[in-house]
Amino acid sequence: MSALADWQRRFVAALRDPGAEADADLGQAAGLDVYRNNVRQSLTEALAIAFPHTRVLLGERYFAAAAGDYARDHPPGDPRLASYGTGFADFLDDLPPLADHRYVSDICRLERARLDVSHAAETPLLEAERLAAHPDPESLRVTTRAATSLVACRHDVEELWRHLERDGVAAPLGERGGMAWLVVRRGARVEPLPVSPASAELYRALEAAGPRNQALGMALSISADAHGQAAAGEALGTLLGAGSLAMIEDGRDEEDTP
Amino acid sequence: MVPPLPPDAVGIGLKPRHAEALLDTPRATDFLELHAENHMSDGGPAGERLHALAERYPLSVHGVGLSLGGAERPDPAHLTRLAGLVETLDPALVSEHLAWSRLDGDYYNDLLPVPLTEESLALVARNIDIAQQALGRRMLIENPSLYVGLDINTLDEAEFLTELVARTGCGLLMDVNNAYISAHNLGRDLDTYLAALPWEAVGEFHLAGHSLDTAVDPPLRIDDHGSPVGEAVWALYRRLVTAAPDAPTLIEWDARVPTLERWLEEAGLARAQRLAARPTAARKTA
Repeated sequence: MSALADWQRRFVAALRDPGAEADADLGQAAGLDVYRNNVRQSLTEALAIAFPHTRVLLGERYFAAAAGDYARDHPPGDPRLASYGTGFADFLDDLPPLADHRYVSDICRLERARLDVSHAAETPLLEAERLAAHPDPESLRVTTRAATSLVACRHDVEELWRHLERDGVAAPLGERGGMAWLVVRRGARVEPLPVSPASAELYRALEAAGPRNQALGMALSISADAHGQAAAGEALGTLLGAGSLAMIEDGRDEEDTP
Repeated sequence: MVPPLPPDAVGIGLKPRHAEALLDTPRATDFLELHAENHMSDGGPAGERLHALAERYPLSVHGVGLSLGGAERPDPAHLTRLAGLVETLDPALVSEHLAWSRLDGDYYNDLLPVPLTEESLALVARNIDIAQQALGRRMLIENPSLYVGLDINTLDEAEFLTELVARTGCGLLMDVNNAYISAHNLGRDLDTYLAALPWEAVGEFHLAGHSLDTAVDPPLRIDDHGSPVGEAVWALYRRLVTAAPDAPTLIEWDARVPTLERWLEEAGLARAQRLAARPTAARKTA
């Protein structure tokens, strides 16, 4: 190991543990504090920008403390801070003081999904008309669009989300229990929409199948088995209408290739 | 057609909140500098806006996460993303820092100090070589703002930068604010430091505001980019700008970001300071 790598490891250890006495060759304590604060504060700010509604629900001080702890224990893996905080909702789930407030992590997951979807690659959208007009729809390689995401919320946060979006304030939870949300980018807008269990099942089945022939037929069967034929058909309409499906191309998948 | 970067241009940083106004105003500033890591999306509206801006303004791509000053080689995935961005935008300038931020797979979101030793010099030169080869172009390396002096240094910063230029062919980004801050915080003799730099390699100036932390003794100057350029930094800029007269100047402002109008006003001040610093004969013919 190079002397530089050894010095860097000791420097990082000193940043992570302000209580420990740092080696003299790492520099003066006051200067180390500046680097330590810069790292912590910049990551806390990145989380505050990514999760504004979560911040409202937790309050400024609690959010700052939770984000600071998360930043200390979960440094980013790369410098793209827009993708930082993938595990923040899971982290909040594990905080004992939030045991009776798990809806906060539902909102946190919706915010994360919205951000991911807004930065995702564009893929050709499957229009309902194209599917309806095709002589053999199952030969189309139908899959989920990259600029979409499905979030399973454990509470009915529909009214809460709407209030946070519109007024930046909290609202009571609904009484319908857990529900799935489809987060979709259309043009410049990213919108989370609550969807039926059949729609969620169909989306998950298409996502799991990947872009291959017969994926649509198989996914519809899975959704129909669980929720009935009518609900599965309606679910396909929902996913198409939301713009959450992509069409790769007509043709055969790799397994069909001799 | 992307307009060329004019000689002695003055630019501002690109912030999302100003993007629409910059698109609506023809050539509001000479160039825009963007932090590379904020523009590495796979798609979406932010990328579309950036490409529209790239058609109207010369760009400078300023990386903050390549960690050239560490013992590890640059992260291949990150370097590939940076190379893709540079290829797509074809910026006038590409720059990074004499600093590190990545170790053992973790990223520390700051520009951390590099021990200035012969070993570090070889490793940083290697990293710059790797980056310049991947990008297919020369990079500018920025002098750091420092909060710790390191007893293990065996080279001074001007020597280190001079040698990096000689070994890799990179250029320098002279951050006037950083030079002022580091001299104060480390008790460094600023004139000696500046006199030893290879000015022919300077390809850009940075200017920014900083704050003074008086809660510690002795007080530390903090490079927070959260205020207008201070008078001491303007004075230093007037001294230095004639040493690299064709190098563009950027006004950085990353915290408490002002209105576009206020930022452009600060850029106008830089232009005026630059003109005032030129010899009298040159001013008459300008």
